[in-house]
Amino acid sequence: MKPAPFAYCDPTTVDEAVAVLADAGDEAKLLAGGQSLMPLLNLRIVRPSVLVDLNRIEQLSEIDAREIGGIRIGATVRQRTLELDATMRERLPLLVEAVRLVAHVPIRTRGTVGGSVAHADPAAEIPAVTLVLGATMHVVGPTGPRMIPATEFYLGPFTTGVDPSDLLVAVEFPPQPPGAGWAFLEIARLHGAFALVGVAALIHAGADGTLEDARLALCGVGGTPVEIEGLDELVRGQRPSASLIEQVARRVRETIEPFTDTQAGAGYRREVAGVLTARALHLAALRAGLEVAA
Amino acid sequence: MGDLTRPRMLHAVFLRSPYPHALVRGVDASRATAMSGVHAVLTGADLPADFPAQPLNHLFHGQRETPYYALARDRVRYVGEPVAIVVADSPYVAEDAREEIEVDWDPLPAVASAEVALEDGASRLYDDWPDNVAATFEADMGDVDTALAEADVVVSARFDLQRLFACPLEGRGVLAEWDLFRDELTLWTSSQIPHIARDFLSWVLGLPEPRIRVIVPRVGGAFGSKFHFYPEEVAVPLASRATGRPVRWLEDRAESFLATVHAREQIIEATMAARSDGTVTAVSGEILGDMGAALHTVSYGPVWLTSVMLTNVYAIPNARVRTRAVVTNKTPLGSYRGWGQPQANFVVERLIDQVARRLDADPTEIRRRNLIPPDRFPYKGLHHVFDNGEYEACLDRGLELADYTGWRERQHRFRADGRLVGVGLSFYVENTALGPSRLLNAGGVLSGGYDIGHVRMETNGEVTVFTGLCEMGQGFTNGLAQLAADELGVDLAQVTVVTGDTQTCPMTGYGTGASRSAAVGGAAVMKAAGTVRRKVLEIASHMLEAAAGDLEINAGVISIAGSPDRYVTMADVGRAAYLRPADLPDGMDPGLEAIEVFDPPQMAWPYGINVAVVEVDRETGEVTFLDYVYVHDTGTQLNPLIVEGQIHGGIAQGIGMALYEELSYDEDAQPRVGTFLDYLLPTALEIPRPRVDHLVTPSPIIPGGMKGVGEAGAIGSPAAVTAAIEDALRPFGATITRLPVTPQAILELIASAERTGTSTLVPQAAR
Amino acid sequence: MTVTPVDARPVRMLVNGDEVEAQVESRRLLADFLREDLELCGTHLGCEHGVCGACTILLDGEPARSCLLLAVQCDGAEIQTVEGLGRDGVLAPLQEAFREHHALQCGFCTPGFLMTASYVLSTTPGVPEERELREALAGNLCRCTGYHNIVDAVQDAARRRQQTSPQKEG
Repeated sequence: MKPAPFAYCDPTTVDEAVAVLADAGDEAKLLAGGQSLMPLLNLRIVRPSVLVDLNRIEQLSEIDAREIGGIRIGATVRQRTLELDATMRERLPLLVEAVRLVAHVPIRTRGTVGGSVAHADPAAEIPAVTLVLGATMHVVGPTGPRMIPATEFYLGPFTTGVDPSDLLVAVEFPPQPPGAGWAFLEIARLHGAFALVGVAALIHAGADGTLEDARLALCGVGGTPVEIEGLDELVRGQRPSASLIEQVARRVRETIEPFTDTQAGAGYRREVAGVLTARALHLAALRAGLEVAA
Repeated sequence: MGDLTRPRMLHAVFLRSPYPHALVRGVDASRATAMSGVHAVLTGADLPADFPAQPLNHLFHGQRETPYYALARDRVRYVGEPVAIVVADSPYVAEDAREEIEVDWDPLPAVASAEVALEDGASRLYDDWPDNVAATFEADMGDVDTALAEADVVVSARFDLQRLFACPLEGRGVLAEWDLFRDELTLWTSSQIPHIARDFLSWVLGLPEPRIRVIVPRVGGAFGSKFHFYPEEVAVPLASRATGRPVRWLEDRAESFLATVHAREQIIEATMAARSDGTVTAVSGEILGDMGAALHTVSYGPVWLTSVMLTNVYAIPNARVRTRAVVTNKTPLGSYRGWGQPQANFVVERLIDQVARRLDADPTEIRRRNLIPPDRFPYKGLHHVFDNGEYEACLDRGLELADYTGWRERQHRFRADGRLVGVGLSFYVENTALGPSRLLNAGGVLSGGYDIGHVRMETNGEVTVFTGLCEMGQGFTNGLAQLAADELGVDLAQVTVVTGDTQTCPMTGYGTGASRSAAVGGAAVMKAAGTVRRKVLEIASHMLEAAAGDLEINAGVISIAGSPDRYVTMADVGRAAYLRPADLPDGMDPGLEAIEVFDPPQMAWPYGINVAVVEVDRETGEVTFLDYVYVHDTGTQLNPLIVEGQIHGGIAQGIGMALYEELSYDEDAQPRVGTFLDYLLPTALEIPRPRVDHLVTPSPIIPGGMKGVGEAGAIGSPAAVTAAIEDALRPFGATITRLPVTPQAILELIASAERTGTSTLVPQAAR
Repeated sequence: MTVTPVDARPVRMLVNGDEVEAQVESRRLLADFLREDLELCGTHLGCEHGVCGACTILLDGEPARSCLLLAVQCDGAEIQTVEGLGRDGVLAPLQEAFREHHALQCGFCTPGFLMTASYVLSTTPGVPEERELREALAGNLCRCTGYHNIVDAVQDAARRRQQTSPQKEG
């Protein structure tokens, strides 16, 4: 299982990379962490004529965590770097919790946040988190930079708003209001294997202990990560309770249209999505300092 | 294998059929051959018209021929069948060239399962057959029909056991160097059967055996899957001959799912009859073995073994088995740890559990009632004679170690709390120390069951042991060294074991497998070491002018008992034997080595119990192990650490079979599994820490008393794990007859029970 | 920026402390470069898609799959393979622990486990608790041992390291 031949280049600036892409178009593939791309190359499932290695573009490997304002994570920041970063753990704990579930440490030492987002595997954890946290993707193309909100970014399995001539340069997370409750849970057949279903949950409560809103996104239940709409109507003004959580879980089960593959059927995914939703909301509530009534 | 290189070595890859069934109208490799760095492309068309088909080692009565060749000639019958070999400067270039080969395929209808293969009008794999049945087998004991008619309880089930494979972490590999000048072939191969391979190579290549040398280096795991003679082992030598250079092929992972023999897949419809007191009076089974596209090396041996082991450890007086080995358009089926015993064990243990349920009795008591008691040995089952066993003692020890009664008590509380905790057990007996040559030959095996041990003391008193058995991680070389060292009275560090080279190592009757290396290989080595020891004592007695009977050997020093200052060393004896024959007794030949044969008079029958305790997550179907206990009797243990290692590994594979692994195919006989993303090998977080204990009843028929333990862990574990899950799901009245037991399958069982109102557990609200 | 066509590129890296210079084809996997070009066969290939872990090495001190790295990416990097664990033919304490606990049977997965374990030991103070250790090792597959001797070996190595003066593992 050896890759087919390609021309290799390792630009040191974004502009150089974009110039190469302008030339090569969809004959090129971008190499970030390589943890998703290299297996495809080794299996000859993809055979680009040009491989553009982004790992020498220093600008892409920076985390810009501003005092006020959000956090901008360069596209080639390693997942492992993120999970070990104290600031990330404090300010984006949902993202860190999800990243910890990505495969295993030797994968995360190379795998990148941007790579996971741009690869858009329907089972991937990080894309679901970008939806829940309202992230914005920064993309640079031949016509210059542009921004794509996460809600418009994922178009289909392994398909995003990044065109062949574009480069994802950063994922930006807006500032998170304090006191949020969060949880990321997933089910996989083996530890570290691809998630069958994953749930990213974020809730906000007011000082009086009632919920202000809840956001949920799931991976593994469709061609793209799926954000569950309209949850704030369901939960606003209410105290967390088992029955409220069950209502949300039911809404999730009714909304999603999961697929069947060799690992699990649609029915199982639907059922487990509800179970994980309930467990994630429960955990998120506890983390927000709320009690969950029986 | 990947560590081996030879000067001027080239690299090979195989082009394999993407179709499950097709005619090969033509292969055009011209573009590939023209590429820079490509040295040759061979196809079936390059084989002479009379080129022999791949030979088999097992020829059962009545089995049909399923000829397949080193490279497919005009027809392919499974996805992955080798069609061409490409030889180039590197595997990278070889893979590039492979893509340039054009094949004119004429696809044929394919059959994807044994049941489809048996349907009227099903597409046939072999045109001269009336159907797709490669072989049938029948065995009867007593009168099953009467027993069924008179029974108080009759339980039946259809068991669907999945296709999976041994999946050693190192793939296969072959490095061939055909010396054109001398017309001699040296073949390095990851094989468990170098002597059989040499024999077969001679037959297929038309090269006399003395001009073939097969060498097995360290192998990265095998578990039976390398106990086969593969097409690649012929194609790679042909490539070497064609290019005049050494050629190496390494099986890559994607390839392994198609190219290495698969295992286990059977459909078994079985019935068990019992009296109301729990005595099992009969067992019957109809077995369909899905052999894949051809009978491979060991024929349908594993399916045959399932058939004859259908009484397991129980004194069931009436038994009947009707077996069909069916060909389908999938990778050929072959050997894997346990051979056919895990399947037989699964069926019998699950049916016994059902009998227990019907009689509302404890599953341990039903077993206890039916275990072959010590006074009934030697006991004849459907085919084999079981030698001895303290089954009940083993059962008791297993239940004690597992705290079985404690778990049953706690289970009531767990259930009251809505927790699904289950205890399952499985008692197994297995066939090891394969086996007496006459029995093997009578059964159609073209091998003996003997082993030859060659022990040589060197000029300096060190010892070399030569064995035809091969090291693949099981550590038997340690055991052989221990046996030789003990027998000769030297330190372990003085003994070297040489394995796996047909030029220097003696023939092994059967090969490395069937849990025979320590027992049969060990016995042969003991015998040879004993002969050497006698000569050593004779020489020493001459040198010390004492009677041989008065001498003792300790740590390489031969001294007169009671007079330790009068001694000679092994080095002294060695020197006399080889360098100063003048010091030898009159009439004694120089030299200090012996070659002895051990042919076991019978097979050995180790046995044991698995007790698994699991918890099932009611909402997700996930299974967690709370405990795993294993108590067994495998006779003398040469090295307890190694024995336990074998058990742990076998249990892990059994858990893989019970819960995770499957090589599924779609209706068009296309494989669905191509990487480790879909073929699930359990990790350190899925496999529990087993607690192992043992009894030791030395084998009465193997010198040294070893029985064999390589396969044991894999035999009873699938049934025990499944039983535990079924027990956990008892409130839902679930019966599990299909493997692997996935979380989805568990939720479906629960949902189905709730729909049909058979559930006795009140559904819990989501917590 | 010119894109170089399919050809050989120069690479320089430190491998087990030794400076290495070579010309490699862009698509050559680091694993093949180590095994074939440098003849460091300790790193094994069990799947070539990053799951089995047998090819795990340390890249700039962190574990990584050498089957998912191109040799050219490692220009300027520090690589440690299993050959770098011992010294002058003497096994590292971690390797000794593996031997004593019978933590290897066929040994094919072992180099990957050793590299992963060596990283765990160098980044985890004290003796890792079993569950946490199994999680850290879950990215390495073994088909022979059933894992628990491996877990025991690593815990034992950690214990011994605690008892002696702290030294860098490998």
